[in-house]
Amino acid sequence: MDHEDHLPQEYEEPRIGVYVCHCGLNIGGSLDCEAVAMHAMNLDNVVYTEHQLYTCSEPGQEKIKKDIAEHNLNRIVVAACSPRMHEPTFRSCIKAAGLNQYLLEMANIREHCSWVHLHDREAATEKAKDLVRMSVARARLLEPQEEIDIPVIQKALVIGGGVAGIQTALDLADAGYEVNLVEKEPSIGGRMAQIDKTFPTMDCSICILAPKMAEAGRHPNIRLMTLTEVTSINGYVGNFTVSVMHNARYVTSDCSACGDCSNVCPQFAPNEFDIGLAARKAIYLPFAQAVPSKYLIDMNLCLNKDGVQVCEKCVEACERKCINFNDTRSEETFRVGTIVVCTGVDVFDASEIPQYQYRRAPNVITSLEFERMINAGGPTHGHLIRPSDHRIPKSVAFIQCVGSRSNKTNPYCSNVCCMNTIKDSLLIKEHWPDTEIKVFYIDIRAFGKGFEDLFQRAKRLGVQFIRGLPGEIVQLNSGNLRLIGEMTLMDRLYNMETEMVILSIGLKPSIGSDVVRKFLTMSLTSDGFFMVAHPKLRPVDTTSRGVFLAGCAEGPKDIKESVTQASAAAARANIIMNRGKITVEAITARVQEDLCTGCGACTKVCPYNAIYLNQNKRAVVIDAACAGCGTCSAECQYGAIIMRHFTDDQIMAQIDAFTEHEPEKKILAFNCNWCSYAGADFAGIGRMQYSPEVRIIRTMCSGRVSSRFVEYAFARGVAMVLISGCHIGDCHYIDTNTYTEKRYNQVQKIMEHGGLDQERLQLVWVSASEGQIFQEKVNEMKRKLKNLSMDEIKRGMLFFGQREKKRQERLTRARQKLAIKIQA
Amino acid sequence: MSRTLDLYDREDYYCCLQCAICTGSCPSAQVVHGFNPREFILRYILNGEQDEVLAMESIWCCTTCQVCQERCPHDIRITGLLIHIMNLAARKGNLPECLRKGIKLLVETGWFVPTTDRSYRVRQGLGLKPLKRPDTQEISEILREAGLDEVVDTL
Repeated sequence: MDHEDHLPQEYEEPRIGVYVCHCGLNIGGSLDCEAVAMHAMNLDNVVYTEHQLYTCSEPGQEKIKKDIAEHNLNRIVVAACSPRMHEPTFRSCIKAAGLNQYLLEMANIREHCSWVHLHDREAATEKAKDLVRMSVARARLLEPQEEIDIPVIQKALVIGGGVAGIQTALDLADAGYEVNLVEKEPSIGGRMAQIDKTFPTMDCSICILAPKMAEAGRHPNIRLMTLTEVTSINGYVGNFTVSVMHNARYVTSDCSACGDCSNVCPQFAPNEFDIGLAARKAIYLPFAQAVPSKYLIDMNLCLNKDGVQVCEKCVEACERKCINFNDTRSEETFRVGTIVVCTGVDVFDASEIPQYQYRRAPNVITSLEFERMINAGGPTHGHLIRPSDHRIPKSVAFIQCVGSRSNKTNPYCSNVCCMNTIKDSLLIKEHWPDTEIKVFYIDIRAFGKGFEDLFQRAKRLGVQFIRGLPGEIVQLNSGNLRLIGEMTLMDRLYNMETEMVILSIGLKPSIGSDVVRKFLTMSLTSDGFFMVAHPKLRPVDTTSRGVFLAGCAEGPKDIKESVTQASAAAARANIIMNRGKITVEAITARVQEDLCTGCGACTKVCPYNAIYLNQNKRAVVIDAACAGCGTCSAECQYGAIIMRHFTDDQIMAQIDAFTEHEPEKKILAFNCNWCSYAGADFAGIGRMQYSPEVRIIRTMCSGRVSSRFVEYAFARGVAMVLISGCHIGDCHYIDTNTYTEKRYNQVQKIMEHGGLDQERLQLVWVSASEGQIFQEKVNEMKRKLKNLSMDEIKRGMLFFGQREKKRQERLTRARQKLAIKIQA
Repeated sequence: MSRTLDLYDREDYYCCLQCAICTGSCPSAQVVHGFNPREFILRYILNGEQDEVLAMESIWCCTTCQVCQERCPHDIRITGLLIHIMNLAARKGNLPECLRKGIKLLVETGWFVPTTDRSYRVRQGLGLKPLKRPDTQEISEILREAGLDEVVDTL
């Protein structure tokens, strides 16, 4: 939805009430709250101040409400703890008193002041005064904001038809939503359909999956689209437009899966479902339980290519006349409100480790190939046979961590291979109890419910667990394999022969999921899997609102966990769709159309594609997609983008208030809300004492910090400036802190050019748990501050003062030009 | 730990999983009882038994073929560690007799494998000029410069 103008309302003279909280002795014990309140009383527009023991308490809040009515207050400043702690409390307090909740400002005099300057009462009091003065300056310019509701389309898209996708689709469909389930393969079922048994219960995998597949196939609320790929996704939460490509099946939906066509087809190819261990025809059913239960033609294999019909065997065999060689691929576009990504995993290619001889020695197979072999419906009808001579092996060796826990392949643990091997060893023991089974491992990770029991069962049945992976496998003339390695628990080398080797291969992100990622601007973690919004507290949300993750797309996991996530993702999507609308926090960007030159710089930096140029070459913000990081605003050279509730004017006013008193002795810090502000809070909670010269201005993202703020601070005579944000890769707004770095480097260059001391501007990445890094940085800057000459500061004031003046002139010219253009 | 190890991040060594792929890949471990690259990481790095390891004779069995570090899942520089250990051990006087002899010959004759009368006659028969003797003084100096002065002195 495009932006609507809510503001500005009629201007009213600010009448500010300032409440200084003692927080028991937490604040009052280290600084003089009364003096701070007195200081506030002398500030412009402040009509009422008070210092209270606990402002957040019920009486404290009641007092604020009473004062709002009594003194006709229209802005409230609470000097207390971190806004990350009690901002919601006071917002609802003033809202109850009839004020707009955005007319509240908090000065953090606890985490950022009293707790970190426990032993310097005078300096802490001075700092608290500064912080309150800065807050009052910002409060003067606060404007009421209306949070807007955006309608949500009550339909969902589920990408991927593995067990996670099926479960998500079923849950959402049962809740009454229309679900579009897209699967690129000819059948749903995914990896779970290929597996024989599941751990730790030893259930038959397809027996428990097939009913779910069938249900998904016939559910009235599910639109199942197989052989279909997502080609584009546009839009934002509640309003996504999805395009998909249906690939041709060449068999109509009348197919009854009788199989007569396949019987007569002359063309053979390796069967993908059996990982090439068996053959299929050009016209085939992927596997017996496939949903939809319809045949398809592999056109790369079929003799009838490009409309030239040379073979009609299947057409003749099909009684229902379902074969259509003229079938073509088709594109379709539809709209949904939420998206659940369940794109699953691929398996590691074991031939990447040459010393294990996979694909060279026939009797070295992978765990997935084993699953197909041991499956009664598989290519060997449930018999584990050696590919070289079709004999049942008397001895089998499993090798763990193939393609996992290694810098050379995938550094992460694939989670499922240990238990899968234990289950596999039990399956072998079940069929052929005399088989000698050895499992070579580094660590056995049997961490889930019932896993340890299964491990013990395998041990009791005589499966030998040998700690130490083989360095090498040598193929012997008999087809047997020689494993050379060390048993680390015995400090003894082994050199043993086995008839068959099963490589327990790891999992890796699905190739297809990269395509989906591009459309959805979802981030990846370092392991290549999709990243969730918070690893503990938002484990199925992505950083894009309205997009959720389930199953192995997020990381390797077993069936139970995949299903759990699937239901969780469905529940989360349900929350958005059920309300039928979503509320957007009123901190989004707003373009002042008359100032926009249409240069498009903002559109390039937005990580959410939430800003675009319309046909009139003006930037337009999509409120629902905008997360409020402010990077566009910092990038705009013409001051055309206003960040609601974090405007340029408000931040400049804070800088002005900060520099009113001895700026040459102080450090100004810009901290991002999510990591570095929280990190500074953490320093307070941990009572990490640092130098009291620093004052922090909070922005939502460090990407909001325009170089203009920094230059303006220097022009006003600030000694040092610190910019602080999340670590690169951890940015709450995907990657906007890279622009922070870019701007930091720009200002550094300007300072170099102006012959200024570049050390006066510093950049540090602080995560929410790295209070110590913030502490050390401030102390380090304090040491530098001591050696800074007044002359240097004055030169900086002059240099940046001139730059600011020139900037203003340039801006005025540009605006005049633009005004003329608009009139024309 | 001294300079050589400082070249690498120590964590590179500490992340060893003890998977024993190194030992399983090591050609020397197959023939020399008690030579075990995994154990060197365990004892020297993880357990800190530096003096004990430096006194072991088996450390000299490493041929520096680098298969271990080629296959190590965590790219641990096992050969680098062993070269470091051998250097330290040599300085502490733990040098096998055969190598000691070799270095002695290098210092005295300039050759690790010196020429013999027979090789002289063969060269003559083939019409080759006699080999020029290397400057042994220079070689000693190079060895000293390389930090092997203690070794040279003990010869």
